[in-house]
Amino acid sequence: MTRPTQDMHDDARRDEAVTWHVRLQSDQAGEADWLAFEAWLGQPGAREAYDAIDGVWAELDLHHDALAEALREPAPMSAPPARAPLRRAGAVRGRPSRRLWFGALGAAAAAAAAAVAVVSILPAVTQPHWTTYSAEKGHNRAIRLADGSSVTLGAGSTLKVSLDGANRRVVMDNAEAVFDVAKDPSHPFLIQAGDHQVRVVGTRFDVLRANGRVVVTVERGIVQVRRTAAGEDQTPAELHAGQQFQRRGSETAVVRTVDPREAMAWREGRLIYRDAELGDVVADLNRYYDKPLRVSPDAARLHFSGVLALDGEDQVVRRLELLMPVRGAAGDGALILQRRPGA
Amino acid sequence: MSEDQTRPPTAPPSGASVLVALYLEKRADLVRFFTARTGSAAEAEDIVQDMYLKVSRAEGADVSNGVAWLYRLGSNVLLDRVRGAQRSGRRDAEWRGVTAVQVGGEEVEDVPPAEAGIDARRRLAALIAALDQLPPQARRVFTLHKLDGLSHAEVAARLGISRSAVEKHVMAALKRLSALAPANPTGGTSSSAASLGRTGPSEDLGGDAER
Repeated sequence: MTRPTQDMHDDARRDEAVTWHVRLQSDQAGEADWLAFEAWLGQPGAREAYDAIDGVWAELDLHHDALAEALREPAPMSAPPARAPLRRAGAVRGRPSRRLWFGALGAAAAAAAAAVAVVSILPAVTQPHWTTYSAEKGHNRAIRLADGSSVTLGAGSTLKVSLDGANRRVVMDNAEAVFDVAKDPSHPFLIQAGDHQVRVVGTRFDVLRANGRVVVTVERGIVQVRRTAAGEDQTPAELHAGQQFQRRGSETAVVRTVDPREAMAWREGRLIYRDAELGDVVADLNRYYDKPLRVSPDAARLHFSGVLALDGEDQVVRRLELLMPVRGAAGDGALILQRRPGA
Repeated sequence: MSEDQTRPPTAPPSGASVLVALYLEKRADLVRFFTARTGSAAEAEDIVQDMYLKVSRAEGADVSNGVAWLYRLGSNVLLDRVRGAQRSGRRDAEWRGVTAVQVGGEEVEDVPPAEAGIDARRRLAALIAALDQLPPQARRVFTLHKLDGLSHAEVAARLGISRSAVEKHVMAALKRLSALAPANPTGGTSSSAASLGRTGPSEDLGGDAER
């Protein structure tokens, strides 16, 4: 297409464009750099060369998930030796599963975590102001926060938000939400979910806090989860895209690889479970439906895998009766799921 | 995704008003810059206009380097447009004959359908191969920066290397990627972006600016 001399010319421009692209991404770049860049753009072929770099850059976002998987999977924890040691502990339903041993984390892991911690540039100016958001039963709610982040709050959930301190803060309990956090390294985004704290800089992930359980699922970016209860090991677990952290009560936390879209399917009116305890399923359903649903102790630990479309409460209960050895019985103003006799 | 009345009932933070003033002061410069960047005065106007809402919503941004922040913000608006053009280009190629691909402004999933996305898969394989051939440290840096979204400074702190080393590795990766034959519908932004409007959610407001 082009002559050899032209090619050489193009290569040089391309390299210059790459250099500009990277330099300008740095927070060290100042106004003078941008003006110099503007002057460079006036040279023949410069704009086209830079368009090509922008195109590749955007394309990587388009393929983000596939690239992240391809580049990380063969050696998931290969990068820095200081990364938290994750031991394999068998597979959960054919998926790779890792169990975290917080007690086993050494000083190196703590140092690595400290290196991720972001220095706050601006001091806290005022007392934090809290705003409370609630979603009615049966209705998810989309919220845009003033920092540019967005939150999809699950039905029957409540959370509090404060944006005016040194950190952006959210407190939630008995709630589920997907967070799409606007990146702002000078103001880390901290979510307190029961006795666990989730820390992010900018990413997209789901937090569920219900029934004594914390579940964090990451779709994009890196998220840190740590316990905040006094006397507990507070070493953070670090989650990457496609990983899910789960802890029930004070049991050992489990991190496994999941499809984040399944964990976030509630936003499209479906709940997707793999090997979930019926007690957790019922806790979720109670955030959607008015008539209280309970589960008898002999049925609470039954495991459920499948998709529940969130139409009517009666339909959902009927589906559970078909799929599991349970039946619903009215009692005490609630519908109680009991183990079927003989099942 | 309808309600947007949930903004906290507080006054806009002071950081925003400083940035808005700066934006208004530099507006002409920004239009001139994006005209040079896109080759189109009309597109430059659109970009600078799109910036306004983001500037007025930005809270607590570090205003000491506010002008550079404005340029980065505008560059990210432009990148959003490129992404939008790529997405719809891909949809056009893959879902030929299917009419409605957007429902209520919700963007349809980015996953290529099985039958059609052969070009996309080939392209993806090329991208992966290029990144795969990088030296381990360059690959690590690039993954942390581009895929995990850490800034240069954060990557440097994480890996215990200098910022200039981070920049060098990112440049190496980008050079390799840009040496690949370009993908079909991508690249140019000036012609397509203006007519498209916004396809995806505008990501990470101040965010991409840090990357």
